[in-house]
Amino acid sequence: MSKKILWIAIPIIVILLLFGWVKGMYNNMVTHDETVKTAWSQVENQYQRRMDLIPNLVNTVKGYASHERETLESVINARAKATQTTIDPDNLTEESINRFQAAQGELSSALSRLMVVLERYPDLKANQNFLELQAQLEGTENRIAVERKRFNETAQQYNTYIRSFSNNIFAGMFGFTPKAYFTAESGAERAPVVEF
Amino acid sequence: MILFPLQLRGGTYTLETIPNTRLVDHYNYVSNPDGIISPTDVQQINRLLRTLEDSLGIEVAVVAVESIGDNDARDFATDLFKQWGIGKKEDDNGLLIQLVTEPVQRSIVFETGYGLEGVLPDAICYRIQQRYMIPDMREGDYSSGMVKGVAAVRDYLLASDYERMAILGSGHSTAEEVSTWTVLALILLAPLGIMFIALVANSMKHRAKKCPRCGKKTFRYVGRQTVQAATYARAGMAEDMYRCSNCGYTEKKNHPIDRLRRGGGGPIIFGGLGGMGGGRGGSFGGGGSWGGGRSGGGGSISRF
Repeated sequence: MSKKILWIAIPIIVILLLFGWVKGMYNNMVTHDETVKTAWSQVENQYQRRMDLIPNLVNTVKGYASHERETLESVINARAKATQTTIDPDNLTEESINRFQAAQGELSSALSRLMVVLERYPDLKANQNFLELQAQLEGTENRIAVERKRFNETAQQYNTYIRSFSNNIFAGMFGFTPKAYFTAESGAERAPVVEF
Repeated sequence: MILFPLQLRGGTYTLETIPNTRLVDHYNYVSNPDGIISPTDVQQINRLLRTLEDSLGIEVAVVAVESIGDNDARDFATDLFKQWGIGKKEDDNGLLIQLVTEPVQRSIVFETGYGLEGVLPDAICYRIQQRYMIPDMREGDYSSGMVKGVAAVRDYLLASDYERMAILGSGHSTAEEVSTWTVLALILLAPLGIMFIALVANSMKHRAKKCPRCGKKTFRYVGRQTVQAATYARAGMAEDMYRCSNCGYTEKKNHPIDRLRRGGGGPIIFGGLGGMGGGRGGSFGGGGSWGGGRSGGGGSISRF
């Protein structure tokens, strides 16, 4: 009689324990995943902030540096391209992040080219409005750097979690795939060398 | 400042060695280990910042050192802000004003907390630096430049609509309180049949109501959609949609989503560090830390 109860009780206990274990692991993965997504949305926000500043900047610059039409246009075009390149936060793969980074990097280099060219316009450099726009742009670039770093940190925590042993068996089953990182400044993103 | 008289003048500081004066005295906002700012000016700054904190709850930290080694001034400010957790945890309303006087890195940096980015945009930070601080500082009078800058920041913030925004914001938090109470009640009632309540609550929401247009009882809740996702800087908006399956009449109800907060109830280690301040009261002794606020690289730098 008591043996019969044991035969029923043991499987139930084992199932309950297993259930608790998997549940905890799954929920942790969800938490990590959400943290990465939030960090990603912060990164996107800051890039968006930069794109929002550009029309204003172009308008201010236009009046002073009308000769720099080409440089201005390359900024506008790069911005338009960057606006179109968005990523679904559920799909933070290396390929999509690289694509995003390339589009934004093009904008970065177009912008820094513009800034270099503008050094030649002393009137503009004395314009308070321009100086403040420049400060805003600088602040935004700084925010981008910070949020990118924080995104990489959260993505790393997530990756470490889903790839450590026993978690890795279930991560695949539940569809938790590794997230890609932002890579260090690629060529496109670095300020170009100026030749006169 | 009297507490760190043994620091050598011209010391190089790291995140760990910059004295966090507020730990000792809750109303000492100025970390001035090299004595760059004169004692009377320190008092003046503390007076200004205390009124600011008392009226708006904004925490401002002032740091003036000769050198931070090879660290980039701006990154250093971001890291120091994070380390100290300036600003109230729930509002992220901190500001760090960091002065480095060593020739290579000579700069003044403002780092704004997430919650201050809206009222104190980078352009304003830059304007304050250029107008009120740089002229004196360029002449080597760091002390008076700092007082003028702090006074300008304080005046600007007091005249801004920060308070109005804070009041509007508290409207959201009452909504939040209600939902916490609901959750609490649910937990207490759990043994009495949480399933039953959940079922009732669910069916209440999905139950067909009388359609305002055709009058048939076919007007139901369809689902919720995010209109604008919440970020660290601002609250978001979701809408609940109701539709009548008879005549197709739809109705949308807006529903605010609270601004995101980092590490809300996160790691306990941090909770201890940030939460300890308890902020306004400062009830235990004179000490207490900053409120645990966060920043994301906002603000402005002026090298001179």
